[in-house]
Amino acid sequence: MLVSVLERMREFGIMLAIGTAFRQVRVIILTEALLMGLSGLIAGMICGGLSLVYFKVYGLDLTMFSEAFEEFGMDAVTYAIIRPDYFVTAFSAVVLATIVSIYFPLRLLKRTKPVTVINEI
Amino acid sequence: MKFNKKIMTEFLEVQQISKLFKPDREVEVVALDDINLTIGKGEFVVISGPSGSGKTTLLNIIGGLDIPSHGDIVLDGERLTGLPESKLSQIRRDHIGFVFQAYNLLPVLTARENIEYVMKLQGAGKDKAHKRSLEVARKLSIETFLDKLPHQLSGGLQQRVAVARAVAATPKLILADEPTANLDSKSASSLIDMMQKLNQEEEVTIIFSSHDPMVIEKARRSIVLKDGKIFSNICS
Repeated sequence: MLVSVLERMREFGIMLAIGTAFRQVRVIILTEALLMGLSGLIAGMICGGLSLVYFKVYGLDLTMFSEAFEEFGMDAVTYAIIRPDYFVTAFSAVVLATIVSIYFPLRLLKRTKPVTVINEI
Repeated sequence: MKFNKKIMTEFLEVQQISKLFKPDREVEVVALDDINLTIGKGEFVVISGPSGSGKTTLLNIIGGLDIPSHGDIVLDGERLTGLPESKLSQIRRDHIGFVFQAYNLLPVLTARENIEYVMKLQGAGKDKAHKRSLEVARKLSIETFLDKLPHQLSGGLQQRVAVARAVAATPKLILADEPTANLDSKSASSLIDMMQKLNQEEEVTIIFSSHDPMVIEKARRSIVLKDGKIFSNICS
């Protein structure tokens, strides 16, 4: 996300130079960042969720290492546990990563003159 | 200080503007040195001079994109110096059109969307923006390229779209920083002719910078900068 915003700094500089208010640019960047983050989160939840369901039903077969597992009193086939807090944690991490990734580019945009952003960044 | 108080002036007054840069924090570079200018409504003015003479800095300061070290800019009775960035941004949106040397169109928007961008910021409805963008595009002969993205257009066409974007929002003033620098001589001449036509038809004041003699001679008033000072100021 940080790279995506930094790559488009010139574009944001142009927007500011021709009269876009900083708060409007901030909303655009935040919205795009959240949409990107949430798209990744949803894709990750679908893939991760399906994998978890599979391993909850069929388990992860590690019979080739069964002797080692038995020494520790564990079954050779382990089954996944699905807990809602996995998803809550992932969602929180995405929101936090989004805010952190756009904080510095936004601060740079606010402190730098639009012409400098267009020509030098 | 009351910034928004209207005072009787020429359309644009540049009052004792100086700009100092400190590139390495020790040596001071004087980009503009005590510039005084008045420009009337509807004028078509070229600012010329060698590279590093201060043309771009002066245009940036007039347009509220840069802050002078000393002096004031008064645009249509409103003092720009000292205004917060939020207010300057509003003035740029409502009263000033910009044309940059490197076109600076928004790459993800089509030519039409670029032209309508500032109008939409001003709150224009879809139909009004559409009608106006088509009207301006016709004047600049780019109506057949409106659905193209900037990278699909030649430099000359991109610059015409940039001029259309600047004009469409009906600003009081258009500032064009070396608009013909990246164009061949035929496109450059054609662009300046179109800007001249818009200056008359739309009654908009246009100030542009150039160091191309062919372009300079088309302007009715020529201001020459040298080492950050006004070297000559001639009306033809």
